[in-house]
Amino acid sequence: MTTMTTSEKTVLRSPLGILATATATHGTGRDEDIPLPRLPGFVESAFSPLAYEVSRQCLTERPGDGSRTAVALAALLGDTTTADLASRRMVSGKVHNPLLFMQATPNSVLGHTSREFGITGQMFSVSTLDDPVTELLAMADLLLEDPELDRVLVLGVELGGGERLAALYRELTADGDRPVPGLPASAGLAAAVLLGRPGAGATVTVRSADASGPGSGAPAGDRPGSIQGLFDLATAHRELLRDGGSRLLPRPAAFVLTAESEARNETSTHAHQ
Amino acid sequence: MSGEVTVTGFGVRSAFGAGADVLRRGVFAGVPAFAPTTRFDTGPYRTPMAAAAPDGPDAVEDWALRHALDRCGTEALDMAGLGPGTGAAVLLGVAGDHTSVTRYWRNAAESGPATGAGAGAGAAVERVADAVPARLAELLAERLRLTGPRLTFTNACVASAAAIIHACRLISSGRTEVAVCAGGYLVEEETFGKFDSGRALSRDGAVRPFSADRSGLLLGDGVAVVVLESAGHARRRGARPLASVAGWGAATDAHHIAQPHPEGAGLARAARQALRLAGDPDGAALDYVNAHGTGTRYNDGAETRGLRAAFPDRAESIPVSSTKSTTGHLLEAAGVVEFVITLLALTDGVLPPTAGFTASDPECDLDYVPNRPRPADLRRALTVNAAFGGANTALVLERP
Repeated sequence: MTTMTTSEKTVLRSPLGILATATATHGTGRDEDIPLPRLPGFVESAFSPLAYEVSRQCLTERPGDGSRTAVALAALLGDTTTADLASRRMVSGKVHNPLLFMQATPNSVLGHTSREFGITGQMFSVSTLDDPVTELLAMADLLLEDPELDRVLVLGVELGGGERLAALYRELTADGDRPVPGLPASAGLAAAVLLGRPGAGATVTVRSADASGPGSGAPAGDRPGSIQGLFDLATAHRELLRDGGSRLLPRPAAFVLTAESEARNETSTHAHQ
Repeated sequence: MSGEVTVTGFGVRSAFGAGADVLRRGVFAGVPAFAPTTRFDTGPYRTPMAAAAPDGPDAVEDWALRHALDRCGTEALDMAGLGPGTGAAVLLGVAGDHTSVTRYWRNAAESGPATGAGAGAGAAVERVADAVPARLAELLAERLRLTGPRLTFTNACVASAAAIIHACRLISSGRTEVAVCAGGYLVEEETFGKFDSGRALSRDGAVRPFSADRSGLLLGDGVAVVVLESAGHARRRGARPLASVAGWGAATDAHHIAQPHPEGAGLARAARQALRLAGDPDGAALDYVNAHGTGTRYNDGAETRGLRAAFPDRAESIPVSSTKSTTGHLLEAAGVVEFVITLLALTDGVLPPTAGFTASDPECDLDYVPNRPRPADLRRALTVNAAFGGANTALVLERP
């Protein structure tokens, strides 16, 4: 695997504003685990219910104009539970389940979210072996340069896995020492961040930190495509709302999160220099 | 927008074989590529038909997506005159190589769970990580020795169009000078079975977009790579642009997880965005539309209404065709292969027909270029795609 250099992909041209964050876990053994939310038309897999749950939380907390909202979902592997279930049925000679066809692509849950919240801006999903936080924030920065968009909901989803995922991660990490997932097969994680530009009701701003300093490179201890960074970002957001101040989010390209009052003071200081 | 986006190279494979000339003899002649596929046992399914390339001199090893992408990428860079070491971004639209999933579970079923659980080292499960979409972009970048950022789009039938749109944004905003955009899908049993279970496949062995007797889609092989480049970068190195990408748009229906909006609302919105960006909000300069045109009952009427809504004063005078009638539905690769076909229409001055068209449908009432190619002096063309979840994309190409 070739790793991108920080300067090639991560620097935000303009600050972003965080409007809301949400996280959800299921079957991981963590205290915060939730029962899998029921999502009509989606079966067997935690992928779509968790994706919808974190999207719902953000979009309900901060309602906005769906025609000026875009959505980007990051998942290294997609819905592997559905893929494995469908494949195992097929090789054992059973007929396919049409519901598995319907939910086989992340587009389906994005379509469900778009219908529930009237989102008509662009919605898409990506897969990256690198840090999803970096990709998603860079994507939001790019999309928000479009005069037809005000908000970008970014989210990440990751499922636990069985034997195929273990084999797959072993192959992906064969030339390195990054860990394979330790999640139970039925477990799932999702996190979402609703972003705009600062000043549009955002309570916390995100800026690129010095990209050339320490902290560059793959995040230590993370498996390829891990969405742990989105959880870290959501935690930092919650702490800043409570305590104020600033936080450094050390990813392959570091980001600085600043609570609104500090951001305003900083802007004022710069204006007098 | 700070920079014009140009196209300087492409490589393409389909059921017709490799390269543009076989597309000219197939797609542009209105000759469908559908035949009973022998790539897997189609006995359990309602139809054996697909546009899957036969084994032969053009076949890629094991029908593996990684090899097909490599070959198209090499051809595209050669045409563009770019060498290894280029700092191009690699943006891929793909859902992963599903054959690795089938191979894994078939091997596990045949050898027992113990072998399946320890499957990492077995030859039978080689390339298990090719199921990871991002892995294929990494492999393509490594093979072509491209050093820029890479990202894989997985949003189904608009995935490679989304990759192209992302490249256009990166280039026009000055973030990137060159982007290699790709997409790939090769007919395999996982997806074939899912579409069969959803009763989406054609019942009569043909794809008849916009025709009254259309009964569904058929899947097809499609892999393509295009080189997009800022006009300034192309000029500085003396490259000749084949076309420019004058506009792009993407929008969502907000209607249903699997069906298009009945009025084609998202498709119309995406097309209007692309036309506005191209400086032609009414489509006055538009000469051709390469439609999504799947041949399903739901899609084609909705798409027709969406195109009417996008350019109401011109819809009846702009030829529209669906090349899925010859290539089949290329899923994640549809956007980039149809981008290449649209490019060829512009450069050759020929409209590819909608094959299999037998009877007019009152809800499909545009000029669909039925069954025979048509010479035309084209300067601007629109190519549109749509996907599950109500995702829609639009790209405007312009001949230099």
